Amino acid sequence: MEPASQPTGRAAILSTLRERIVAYAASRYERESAEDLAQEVLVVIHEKYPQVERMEDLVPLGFQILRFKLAAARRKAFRHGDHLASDADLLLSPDPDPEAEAERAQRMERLVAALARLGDRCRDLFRLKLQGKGFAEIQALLGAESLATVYTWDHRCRKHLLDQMGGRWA
Amino acid sequence: MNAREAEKLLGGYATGILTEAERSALFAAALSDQDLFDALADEEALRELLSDPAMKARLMAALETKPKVIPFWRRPSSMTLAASLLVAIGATLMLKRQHPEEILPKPSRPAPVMEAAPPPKATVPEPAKASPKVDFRARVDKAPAPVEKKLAPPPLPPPPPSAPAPAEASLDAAMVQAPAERRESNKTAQGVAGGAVGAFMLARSKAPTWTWDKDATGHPRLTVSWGPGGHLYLLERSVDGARVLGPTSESEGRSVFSPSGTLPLDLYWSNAPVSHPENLPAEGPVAGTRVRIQPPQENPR
Repeated sequence: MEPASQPTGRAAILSTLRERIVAYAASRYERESAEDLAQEVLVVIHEKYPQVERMEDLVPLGFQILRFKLAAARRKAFRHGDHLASDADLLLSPDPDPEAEAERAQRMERLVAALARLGDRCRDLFRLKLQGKGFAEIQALLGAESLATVYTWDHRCRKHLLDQMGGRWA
Repeated sequence: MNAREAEKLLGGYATGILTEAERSALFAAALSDQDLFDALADEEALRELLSDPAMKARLMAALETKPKVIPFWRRPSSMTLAASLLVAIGATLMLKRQHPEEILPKPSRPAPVMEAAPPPKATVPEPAKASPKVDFRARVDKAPAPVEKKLAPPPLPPPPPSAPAPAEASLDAAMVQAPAERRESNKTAQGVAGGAVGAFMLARSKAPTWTWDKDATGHPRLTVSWGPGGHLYLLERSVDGARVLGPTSESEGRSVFSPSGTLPLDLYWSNAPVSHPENLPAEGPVAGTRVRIQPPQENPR
């Protein structure tokens, strides 16, 4: 599987990553705060993770920081006055946030209920994925004709599960 | 790999099963396609959840226990519903076959007509306590009725010994004992007297009552009492004709008659006076009510 044309170099990757984050934040949160949010993410990557160079590491790192930033921004909207920067360090904090823990517990309950409503094949597929089996192994275990078939099954099951969750994982 | 192909790898990102090549292809496609990037960013929430070993273990347990799917034919509620429907359909079909006219809606019909009364029975008044050896019999004539060739009283069955014996007979009692005859009589009275008003007035007036006893010589004696609003006539009939015993047109009172004791008597009661009561018919419709009073018979005991 050949990778798509990708920006090479850390600066180029972060620049592209910033554009995607701004667009994403604008669609999911607030357009006015999207620039600031993307800037916050890049600042954290730049300051905390200067050693990360590869795209395969920078992109998921950017997703992780972005998620915490968005959660902090939403909490801030309730608190009125807290600065985003004060919550940005939460993702690096070893102490769990009680509110975040509660949200996770609720998300877990929804996920369990949604999985119970899936068909047998989707449940088997999800179970094998949780066991760490790759798509090639799943193909052999489920007797799929090709790897593309497994991709298609997984894509449909994921969509079905997302629908059962109400269209969003969070 | 374009974004559509890379989208199929999204499901492997959260569970962390993508190979290095798949990861590279997916992230490169995400950086070049905003929709895929957004989907991947949304997937981060699930990835974060599944990265917790405790959460992962719980999900595994939930997936191991297969949800129990009970076929509908083994569910008690489904069986109950099916049985109820079956019984209802069966009962409906059975009833429809047995009584189809009751299942179908009935057409509107006029008011029901009263059924005909049972055949008239001879009313047999029991003897009074004062003279237990005498039978008192009264019979209400039907109108129309077959013409009697002989005026001799027809043989009547003896009264049951255990039956209670009324002290006196009355027209009301006769009418009560023979409702069909009473209706016929009323019908006749209405038709001949020329209106329902007269019959109503007659019904409102006090009906005559009579008792049999014996005078000092042992001859049968009939005592008749009647109230206002009616005219009473008593005729004794024989093969030679009718003999008016009277009274003729008294409005109210009480009279004692001395009939032969062997011939039947006709008691007429009308709401209008009759100029020639001897011509009152023995059969057929009359202007009022007619009651045949049988002569007393000696008790065989």
